[in-house]
Amino acid sequence: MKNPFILASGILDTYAETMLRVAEDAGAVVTKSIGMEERKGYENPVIFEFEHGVLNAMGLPNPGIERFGEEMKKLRGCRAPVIGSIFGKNEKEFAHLAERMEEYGAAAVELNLSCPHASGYGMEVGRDPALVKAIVRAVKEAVQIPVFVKLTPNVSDITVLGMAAEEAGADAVVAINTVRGLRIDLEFKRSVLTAGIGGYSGPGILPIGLRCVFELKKVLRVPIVGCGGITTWENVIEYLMAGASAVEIGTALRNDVRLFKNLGRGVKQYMKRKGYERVEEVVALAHQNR
Amino acid sequence: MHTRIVEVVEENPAVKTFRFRYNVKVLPGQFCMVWDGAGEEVPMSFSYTGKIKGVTVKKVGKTTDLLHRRKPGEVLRIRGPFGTHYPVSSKKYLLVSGGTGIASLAPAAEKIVGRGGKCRFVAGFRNASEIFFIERLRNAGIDVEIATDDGSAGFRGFVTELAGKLFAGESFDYIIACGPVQMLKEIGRRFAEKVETYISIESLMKCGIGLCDSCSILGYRVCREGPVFRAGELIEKGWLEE
Ligand SMILES: Cc1cc2nc3c(=O)[nH]c(=O)nc-3n(C[C@H](O)[C@H](O)[C@H](O)COP(=O)(O)OP(=O)(O)OC[C@H]3O[C@@H](n4cnc5c(N)ncnc54)[C@H](O)[C@@H]3O)c2cc1C
Ligand SMILES: Cc1cc2nc3c(=O)[nH]c(=O)nc-3n(C[C@H](O)[C@H](O)[C@H](O)COP(=O)(O)O)c2cc1C
Ligand code: FES
Repeated sequence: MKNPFILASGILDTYAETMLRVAEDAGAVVTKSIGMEERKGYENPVIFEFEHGVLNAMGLPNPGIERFGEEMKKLRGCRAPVIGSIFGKNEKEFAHLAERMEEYGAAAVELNLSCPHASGYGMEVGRDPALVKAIVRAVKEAVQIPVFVKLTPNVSDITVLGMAAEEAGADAVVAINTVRGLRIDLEFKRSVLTAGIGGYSGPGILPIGLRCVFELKKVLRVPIVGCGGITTWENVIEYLMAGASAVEIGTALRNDVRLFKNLGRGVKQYMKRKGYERVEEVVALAHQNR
Repeated sequence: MHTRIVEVVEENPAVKTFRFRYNVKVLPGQFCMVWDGAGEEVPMSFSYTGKIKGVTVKKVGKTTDLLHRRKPGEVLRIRGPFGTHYPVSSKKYLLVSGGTGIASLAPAAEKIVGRGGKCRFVAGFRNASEIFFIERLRNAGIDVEIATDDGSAGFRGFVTELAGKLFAGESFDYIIACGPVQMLKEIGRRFAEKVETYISIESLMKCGIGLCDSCSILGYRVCREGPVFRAGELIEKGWLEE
């Protein structure tokens, strides 16, 4: 990876052409989460933007693993490694999806065990440590490429899930996916989203993501990818200090597709000012300085 | 933001304009996401960009049918304005619309004339019964010619042909067009190499804010880098062959 910035799943990553654009500045890119069959997702409204971030319930729209092969083909020349995100109902589906992603040339797979609003998938699977273990084991057996496990913050103790993933052989964990949330429309007297409850992303969830990474770092040996609420280079440093080795960014890209470039500059300058040469020197510093 | 419908105008049997107060600066060509709390939230171009804004809706399916039942006093939620806008200046323009494409071009024509620019407007419809907004344009001093597929009004044939005839006899600084994609591609083929040509395209919108990728074509987010594009930019990426 040429830098620690990774495009998070579900943002500007349904079509290869858009991913290639973001990939120009990224250390790696994660695809939209892909399942067994095509899904249209929920009806609009699927997004609500407000001052602290975004609430979404897209409903995992995706073309299905077969057709996604076309996009992966176009990603062959991608400058950054492509990580295939997948979601399934059980270990069998996950193993199959991971195999296909490996065939398509993915550098790694990311298991979406954390989407908060699609029934029967994501978080509904990923909240159960025993299921997490079974799925990670099945995928590890099915593929050679590294397996990242994306965790949900919508549990009372995220470290239980992190440890389950690590024990089953995960190569890295990603924390966090969106936080379950709701906003209500006072005129229409109903949720602002068709699906009702959605997932909260953007600046408002930064402290939650940081807390999760901090807690996970205390108990895990595998690398952690921090995610959630990053909009500035300062936020990136915070994640590194909390224990992340790299970061994923989604929501903030809507206003600036070249965001990674600007963040990179800020991170570099900070490190220079403080006398650090490598990103690794910053990782987990907040655990020493207490 | 929520707003109350202040007026509903029936433009033709399938098209209605909804006027509402929305105190945000909007440029011609930009769109919003409209939601009535019952149907789906759908993208609509602003057809009026002055103090009282408006959207002009053609009934084509479930949600647009629900919208057509909305009455003055009822509430809409508007998100936006989103996206790029038409270039507006004191230069000379040829504006070309197909069907409801006239909705987003009408405020552009008014703005151009207001800036001291010149415009010729060619408006295509399937037949005479679908014609709307012509009075509005003529009242603003804009020279409008009509094309219909069946010849029931004005020129008989495609609006792109009529545009070609005008283009052959006069010089223009800009062409801007909005309508069905096949029409826009024909505009691109005919004019993009000869004159600055801008087109407004449609695509499946979900978030409208550049997050979800559902609207993207050829690496461009139609909700952010569009809906108004310089035709040459899309053509370079292979749009005509798509
Ligand atoms: C930037 C933009 C500006 C537009 N401006 C206008 C306008 O000024 N006036 C007007 O009448 N129409 C406009 N449209 C088209 C309008 O959004 C669709 O006609 C409307 O969403 C149809 O909804 P429906 O449920 O009635 O139809 P459906 O039965 O759902 O579908 C009918 C057609 O509309 C398309 N459509 C449905 N949902 C969407 C969506 N979320 N985004 C894009 N297309 C969709 C479908 O692909 C199909 O071709 C615009 C579209 C875009 C993208
Ligand atoms: C519109 C949208 C769609 C998303 N889709 C997915 C998805 O398909 N799979 C997934 O694992 N996470 C998905 N996420 C979650 C993000 O990858 C990320 O974990 C979350 O948004 C927090 O990061 P951020 O604040 O930088 O956006 C989505 C988020 C948003 C806003
Ligand atoms: S509609 Fe979501 S990126 Fe354009």
